[in-house]
Amino acid sequence: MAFLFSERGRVSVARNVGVVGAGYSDPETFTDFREAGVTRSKEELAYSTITNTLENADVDMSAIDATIFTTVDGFEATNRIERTIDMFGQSRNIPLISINTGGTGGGSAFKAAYEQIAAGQYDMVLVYASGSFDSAVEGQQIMNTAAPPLYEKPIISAIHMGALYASKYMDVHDVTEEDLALTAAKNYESASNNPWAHRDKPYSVEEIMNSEMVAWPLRRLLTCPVSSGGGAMILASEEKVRESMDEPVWVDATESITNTFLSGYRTYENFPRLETLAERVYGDAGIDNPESDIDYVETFNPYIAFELMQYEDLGFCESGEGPEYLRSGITEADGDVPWNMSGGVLCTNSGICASLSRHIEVALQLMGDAGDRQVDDPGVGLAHSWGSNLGQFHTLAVMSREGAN
Amino acid sequence: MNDGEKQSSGSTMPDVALVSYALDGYQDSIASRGNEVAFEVAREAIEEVDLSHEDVDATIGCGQDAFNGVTVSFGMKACAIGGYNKPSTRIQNGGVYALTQARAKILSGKADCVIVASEDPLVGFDEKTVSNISQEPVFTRPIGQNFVQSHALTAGQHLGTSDATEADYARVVEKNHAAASDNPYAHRDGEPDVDEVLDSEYLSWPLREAEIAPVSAGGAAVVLTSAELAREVTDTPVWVEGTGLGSSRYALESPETMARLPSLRSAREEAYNEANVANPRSEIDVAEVYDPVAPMEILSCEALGFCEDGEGLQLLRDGVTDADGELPINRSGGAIVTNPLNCGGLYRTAMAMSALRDDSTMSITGSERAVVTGSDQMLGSRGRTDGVLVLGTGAS
Repeated sequence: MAFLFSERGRVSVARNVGVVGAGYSDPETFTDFREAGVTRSKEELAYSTITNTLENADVDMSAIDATIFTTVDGFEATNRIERTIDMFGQSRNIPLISINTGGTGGGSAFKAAYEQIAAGQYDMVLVYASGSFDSAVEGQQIMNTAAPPLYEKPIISAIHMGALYASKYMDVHDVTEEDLALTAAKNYESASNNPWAHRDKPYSVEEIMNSEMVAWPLRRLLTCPVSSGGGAMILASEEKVRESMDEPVWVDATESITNTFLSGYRTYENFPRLETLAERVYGDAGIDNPESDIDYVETFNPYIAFELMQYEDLGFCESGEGPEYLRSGITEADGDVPWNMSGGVLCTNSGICASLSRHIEVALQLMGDAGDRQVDDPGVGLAHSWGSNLGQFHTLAVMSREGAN
Repeated sequence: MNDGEKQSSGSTMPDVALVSYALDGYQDSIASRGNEVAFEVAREAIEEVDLSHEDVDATIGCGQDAFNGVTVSFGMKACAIGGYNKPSTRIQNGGVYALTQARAKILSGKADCVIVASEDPLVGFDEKTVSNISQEPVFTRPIGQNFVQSHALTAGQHLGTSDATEADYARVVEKNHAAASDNPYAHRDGEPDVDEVLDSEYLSWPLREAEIAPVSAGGAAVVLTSAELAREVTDTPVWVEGTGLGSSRYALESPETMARLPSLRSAREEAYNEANVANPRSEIDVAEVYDPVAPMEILSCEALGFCEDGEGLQLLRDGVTDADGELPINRSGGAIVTNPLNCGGLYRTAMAMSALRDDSTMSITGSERAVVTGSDQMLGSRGRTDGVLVLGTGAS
């Protein structure tokens, strides 16, 4: 039991929460979304994901006492798909909580599981993030309905969510196309070590800069594909964590933040709400200096300029110094703080799964289960997600291996 | 799933209270495109207890995209209900699940004050189509099944295996409309009697239009706080004594299983264990029960342990569940009269609060403990996610 002091100085009793397992559907399911629907049903995808995750946690489904499911319903081409997939403990009538906060769904579901366990309501919770995109014939029109109807809906699709930020960021800080291509190349190189990557081949800076322009300044290879594949995690109370793990991975802090729906108030040169959220979450987790206190980071980087902006907003470097920070090599596999060794969302955009994947990757790294993409002995990891209209929401989570601090 | 050992943790937990609510509606449609009414009710609920939006630590929405007609519909509501620069999330299971998450947020030490709010704008919305496209795509969707037919299968099972008659279902409608006659938020008006209901057409045998919940437009907000803050801001906190959640299979097992409402039973066990409810019939004073079709109120009474299995009919026939009965079920008129799809769980919680408090026409004198149920809607009797709350005034 940990005694937590809230902002108003009141004391509450909350339990420690840890991660006991993380996993994905089989590697071959991480492919183009148009191929996925015809090769696997949603039931098969869920079965594969949950089986692999239970195996990673070394627990049986009967140990799970609540499930949290997250997706964006429109992308599933139906409404609340989880109710008709009997894979989430329905045969035992356990809770099935449905969360939809757009692209932050994975982070929101992770946070909800944390709160339920910390509160003492449930002991072991399965978080399932759907591959989402494998049913709708065309996702853009569906996504477009999320935009404010008068001014933004007529012009906004997914790519503009990235292009508006990227172009302003480049303009304000004299960032070049080459800076973006270098960041992308780092992610492609990492993805070549990741069996669950959709784009899993390294691309040179030249190849990236010669790929077709989609929406200035984002070229095809600076922008994520549309992928398939499911992901899951199992979170548990301290008592349950200690039963199954020798070196527990704890959730030190997790929270979200909200921006306005109308995006005209934003300046697009950075993510100010992410800066605020980072301050709060670092405070909760006892992180004073992110570069020295954090060993591994996974962020939501579907449009690659975001990764440079995130270096700055998450406090790893000063405003405008993202490209320099990248060139220093700190965020590479052998650097002090490797970022996105999975290849990030740039390489694998499996719907809301890609949102939880950030947390899955951090947990696997801390558990030492990250295979060929494993970095050297990370103790503290940071996971981020981003979503809703032009990035209205962010979530962050700090996890750590016991004894790492 | 509800083994006794884990429940012991509940007793050491600090309490969480419901301190205020605000409702707008209910009617056929409202002049809102998705967040205007949510804004109004959220502000009213916060001001009711002299708090400002600055005092709210986190916001939770409870709407579903299909009922709002847009993707990620919480995006437009998050700031309208006070979320700017704060944590927010959206739980899509119909309100009670969202309240349970809000309580967990407070118990986990992450917040002192959480608002749960949403609205039901019902713009360009056809509930039967949404229900049909939400069904399993290979076997069930093509035969046109929607929630009415799904519930009708359960009702048919009930009629065929008990001494229930169609007049009993009509009696549920009569009882609920009579109870709603002084409810300022009621949607359907009129006080049809049993004969009038029985004279109306079937929509899907054995269910008639009046026996099926309407789709109600409006908004709802509920404010939850820690015990300390609750005592500062109100003299009439309503304590959350227990919560329970459950889900049921979509696959057809047997009609018997469907009629037992297994997910509601599972949620009930969890909530009653936490609240130490051993004998619900004597310990619960009032219940707001989700009744999307009339027979579901009878079956829910059994699933909630207000009587033995098979005796729900007798409670109804004896007047036990009337508004002035020994155990009023749906003092508000229930979903048969008022049925907001996004906010149903919040609406029924607000109705239970008004029954427990003595400051409204809906008060039930001497009532100290209430049960509220909520379910996500629209699939019908299969694939339900049910939630149960046990609420109390703290007087007992």
